[in-house]
Amino acid sequence: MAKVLYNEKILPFYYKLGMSWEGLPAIEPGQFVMLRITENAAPLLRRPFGIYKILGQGASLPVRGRTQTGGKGQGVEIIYKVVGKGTGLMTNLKPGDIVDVLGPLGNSFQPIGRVGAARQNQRIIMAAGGIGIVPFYLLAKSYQLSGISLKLLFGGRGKDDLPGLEDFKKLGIEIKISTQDGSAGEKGLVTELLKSEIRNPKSEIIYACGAKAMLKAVAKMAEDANTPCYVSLDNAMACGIGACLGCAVKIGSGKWEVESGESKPTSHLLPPTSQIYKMVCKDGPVFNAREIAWEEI
Amino acid sequence: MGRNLKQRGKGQGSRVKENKTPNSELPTPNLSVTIAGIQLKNPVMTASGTFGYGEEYAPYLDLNRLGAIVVKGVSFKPRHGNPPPRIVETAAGMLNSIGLQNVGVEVFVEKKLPFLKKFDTKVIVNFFGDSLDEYCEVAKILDGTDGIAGLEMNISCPNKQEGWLEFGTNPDLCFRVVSAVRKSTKLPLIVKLSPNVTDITALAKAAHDAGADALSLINTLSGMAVDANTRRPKLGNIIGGLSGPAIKPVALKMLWQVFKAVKLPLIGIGGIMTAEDAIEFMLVGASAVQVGTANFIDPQASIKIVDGIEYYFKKNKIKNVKGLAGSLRV
Repeated sequence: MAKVLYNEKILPFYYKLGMSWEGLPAIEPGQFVMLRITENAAPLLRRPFGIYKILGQGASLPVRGRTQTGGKGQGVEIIYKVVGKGTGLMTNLKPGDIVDVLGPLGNSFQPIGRVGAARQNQRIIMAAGGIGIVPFYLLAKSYQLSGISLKLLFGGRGKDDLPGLEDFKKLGIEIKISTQDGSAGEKGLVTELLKSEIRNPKSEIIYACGAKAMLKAVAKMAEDANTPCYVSLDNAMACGIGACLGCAVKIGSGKWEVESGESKPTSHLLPPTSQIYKMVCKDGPVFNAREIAWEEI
Repeated sequence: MGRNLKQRGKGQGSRVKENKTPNSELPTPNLSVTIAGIQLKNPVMTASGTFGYGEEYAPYLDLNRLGAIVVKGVSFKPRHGNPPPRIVETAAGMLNSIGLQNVGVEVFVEKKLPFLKKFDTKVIVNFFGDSLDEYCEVAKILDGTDGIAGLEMNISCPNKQEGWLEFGTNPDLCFRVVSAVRKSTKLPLIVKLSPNVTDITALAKAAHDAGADALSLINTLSGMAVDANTRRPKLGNIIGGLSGPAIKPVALKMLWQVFKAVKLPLIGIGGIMTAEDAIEFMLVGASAVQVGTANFIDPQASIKIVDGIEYYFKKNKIKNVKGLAGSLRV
């Protein structure tokens, strides 16, 4: 259980929900929570939300739930977009309200030092579309002091579709913006920004989160350029813990197996030959873009 | 009494809440019940397909507190399942078209069962086949395996298409497949009935005559969801199985019908979210219940229901499950 600290409208359809969470567990960038805001039957199931920030004293680092200053994380912040009845109800949440939080769940964008993580000589390109910005705040935080260069490519339909932009500006990382209506940044799609960013497969790594069509395009560009690429997927799910098998995503033929330049393939990226589906909640939400059967998305 | 939750694994503490035993001054009722020869410490099981192979839920609750775990249905060979989307929420319920994805009986026995054996709870293996022979083959393999308390036969899954479905809808075919499996195993045999039939008592009788030791009901109701904007079905498989609170009235009625028609222990399933729901199923004739969709919403739902049943028994001075099963006042 968590207690609502604030529920703030940041853009016409976007809210920041801060929750205090006693005994906050370790959280890594890219993980999510399953949230339930009512005991009624509508909505019946929990809904997954990516974790945006860890709340606490000082600038929070996503390392074992502790803040950069060594203090203990005291809660989490999510950003949600009002898309239906459930998220509509969420807008009524007030400070002090109790919400049921399950998590943190899923894998993560690999933190520094792990296989699949960005290396010192690599440059991280984060490609986000709209609400797909969520996992990147903790990711950027975790790499901020590493000396690894970070660039955010942030796209949306319009200027009101760029939630959290101010937070990233404060991080002082390089940011490029695109909007479909041209109301902010360059007019066009985030994938068009990416096109001019991909230069050297050996020294770049792409992390992407956004609509499926965008991820599909990003994955294609990364594959064509032979650039390592990890995507965070969203899917309808009931349990969030790998039991219901509802959030299946189809796995491709295996051409993704070993990336050039990777020290060795990680076991969690290699499905047994018989497996054609993986679960977004447990095997993901972060996947090597090359393992997804994009033609089925 | 082992009432306190043991916390499993490091860093999982926040996921496990302490459950207080309510009304501790009252004498503790006996929640144990024997079904199909399987001795359960309490009448609460987890329904097949909603609790994985147990390991998925171990970080969230003490599996030792469950009457039984009914594992995700296994087949002779592993199955990939249906194309996504596989889940959609509907009014007070959810539709799923998982399509019986499972690791296959061999991997289940080698990789999944050893974990479950570590717990002091009964393991009931739900299984199915594509043909009569396959049903028997799986039953034989499980029969020779240590650590299994009983089998639950899935003769109906609304995700699957014609032919196969008929074991669950045609009383003659039901009799044939249950008889054949009965000859293939000495393990207690529970037959899980489909609600997608004209007369569920005909299927219940057929399963009874074929040698079933108990019946569990109901499986999901066949259903469908449509997106008016895209004009497409919401499930990749087009049709799926409806579960959750929405189906409870249907399940209660069918259990009551079968209770009156067949003298076999019954396990009630269908939208059980709370102990009160479980008690309702007992009143219409269930000796035990299975908690399904509720596990997705609250991983601890099953043990909260155990606590709630105990509280109800205390409050109403009910000595044991027998004193309640089928005691509906009509």
